[in-house]
Amino acid sequence: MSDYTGVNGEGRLQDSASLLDRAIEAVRSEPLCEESLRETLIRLREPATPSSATHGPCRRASHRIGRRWLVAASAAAAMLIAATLWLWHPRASWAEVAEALRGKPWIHAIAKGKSGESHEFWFSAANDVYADRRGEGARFIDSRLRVCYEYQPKEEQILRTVPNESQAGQVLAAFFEGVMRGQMRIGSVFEGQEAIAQEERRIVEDGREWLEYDLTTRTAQDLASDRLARMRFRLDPESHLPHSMTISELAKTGPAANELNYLFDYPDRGPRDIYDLGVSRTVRLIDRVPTADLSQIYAAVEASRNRFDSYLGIVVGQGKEQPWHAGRLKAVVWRKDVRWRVELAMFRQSPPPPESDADQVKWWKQQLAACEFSPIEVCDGQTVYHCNQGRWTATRTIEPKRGLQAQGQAADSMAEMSGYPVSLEDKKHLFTATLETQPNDGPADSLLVHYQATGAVKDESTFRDLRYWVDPGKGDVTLQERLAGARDPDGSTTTVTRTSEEFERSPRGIWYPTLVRETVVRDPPGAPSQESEERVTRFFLDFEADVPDELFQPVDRPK
Amino acid sequence: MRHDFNTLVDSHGRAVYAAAWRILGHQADTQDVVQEVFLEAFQRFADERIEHWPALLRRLATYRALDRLRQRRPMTPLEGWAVADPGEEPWAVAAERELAERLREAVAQLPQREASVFCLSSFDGLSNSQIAEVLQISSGAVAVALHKARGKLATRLAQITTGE
Repeated sequence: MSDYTGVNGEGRLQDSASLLDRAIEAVRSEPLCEESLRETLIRLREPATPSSATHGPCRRASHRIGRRWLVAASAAAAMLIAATLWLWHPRASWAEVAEALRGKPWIHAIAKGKSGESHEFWFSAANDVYADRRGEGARFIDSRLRVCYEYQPKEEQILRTVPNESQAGQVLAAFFEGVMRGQMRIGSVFEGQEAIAQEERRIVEDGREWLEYDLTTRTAQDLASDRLARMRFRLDPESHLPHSMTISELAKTGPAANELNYLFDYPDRGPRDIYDLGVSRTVRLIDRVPTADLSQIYAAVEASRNRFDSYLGIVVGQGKEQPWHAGRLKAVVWRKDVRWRVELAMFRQSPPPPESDADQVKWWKQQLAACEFSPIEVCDGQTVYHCNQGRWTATRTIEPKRGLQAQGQAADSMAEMSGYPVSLEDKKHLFTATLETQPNDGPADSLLVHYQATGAVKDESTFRDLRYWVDPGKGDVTLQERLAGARDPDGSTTTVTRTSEEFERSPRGIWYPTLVRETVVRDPPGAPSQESEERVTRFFLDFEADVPDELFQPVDRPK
Repeated sequence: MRHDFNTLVDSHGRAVYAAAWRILGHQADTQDVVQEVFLEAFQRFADERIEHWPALLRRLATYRALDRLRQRRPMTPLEGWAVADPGEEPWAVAAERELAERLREAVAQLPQREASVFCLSSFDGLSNSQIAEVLQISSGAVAVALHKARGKLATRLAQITTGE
């Protein structure tokens, strides 16, 4: 283009037209890639078939148990044997108990005391959640989001606070991390308590055998204290799961002064918030969390994205105002920890209309039976593979410690990436970030994270003003994202707005969008705004679908 | 039904691909658009009677490709959040290729009707009456839109190349 020199007046117009014609010819002369065309038509015409082409290396993701998991799993076990302030661990059975608990998403225990008092708790190591009910009071601690809700029945209020380091779960996690490293001594965490006796035995009751352990403690600083406590812990020798725990307040002589007997069970689901514990939604909420800071939001966003449940997701693209069952299938995605698989799915015939009361996820899942699939991308937790005409190619490696690292089409296919975008992070010197707790615009009751480009961002065509409205009541899920300030050479600017309008919660209690609306507006200088066609993306997630590890290998799925 | 679909792909696949390719100049985007077009067309088929498949497919190809073209915008490349496309071709240095890309950028800034008319006319070589049929507008509207589009594009290209 260096040969182009403009002149004024009519000559210049002629030159402009000539340049346009040259540009048109340049476009028209670009040859079609016949291979790409053929590949596209084959994909459309034929079902995806297993290729005889060389596949990429098949790696089975190794089962890695990180330190964090160890802490969490240990804390889960700790809850079983130290629901209040007692502690002890059965050395001989510890490994089996830990292993047995590993497969249980929730631990639940309920107790009734002699005097009518009651205590019930739930604990999930996977979700970092502890919840309990004591009398009419209730408490819900989400360590992942670093928030504690406590219902105070007398005051008829819920306090929202940052979890205290000394609260159950936090302390127990630290304690058992020490136990696992062999560095813990009784009393080093629960100050003031010391063990004065312990016993281990096998018993048979009603024809059934149990392992039973007793631990007796007293207040260390008061050797003459009359206040002793005994924990009796009963274990199923076959399943290695705790069955019951009895905590007794003892006098030196005579019968137990008080006693609380816990019975354990292991449900698949647990409470997702304080309201699931029976607290009325009309109770006033008093927020005592210190002014939210950006790092807290970043941490919550990252944790929600990375700890999102396993699922099968169906992604549907729509135009404006289409019903949930309309539109085209954009992708099908499977996710498990940091691994994913994305495939294109194509209908060979239009699906029948659903019944008026049809379950949306089930309906879409049923339609997959009439689809043909073409894999696009797989991540086995270490390497990302692309599939092209049945041939898998390793394209990049990832760092498992950095969590989910989907990009491009894979990221677009994941609801949690819309709800918790990677771009909502510390952008260091490139952008200044501010948190507005009472933003002037955007969705109601949201916080605004506002980024503005610094001088370090040189490219004018990049977005320079980024706004994320997050909902602190929904784990800081993004309600709206607005990217603006990108400037074209002619001075026109572009603004992209993505608004999540509908949400659901995963079994782990993480909110995610099910409907995202995107608009692109271009503002030429001195001319009316131009708005592109609105695009709607719906996410239908099935958390009960089978998501085997084999899906995350760079091979075609069995038919 | 499947036979119909395959017939449709066989008959019009190349034309749809070519139309999208000329607007986008990018293989992966073109492949995506072609798939979108056929699926959307076939799903429409279930809801309405399609009188003229070639017109529908060409219209959808043009609209969807222009939509995709408008969505292209670089984000500042930051570690961990810039969306990379490992399959993307390196930027061509040849002047003609650059000129083609500048034209696409300019087309992306046109209103939908002007952009569609221009692409169908200049890239696909359709006559005004053919474009009118594809876009379901009058030939007069085609002529007006084409005139406006060419004027804007010529000005825009001149500005770009002279750095104004």
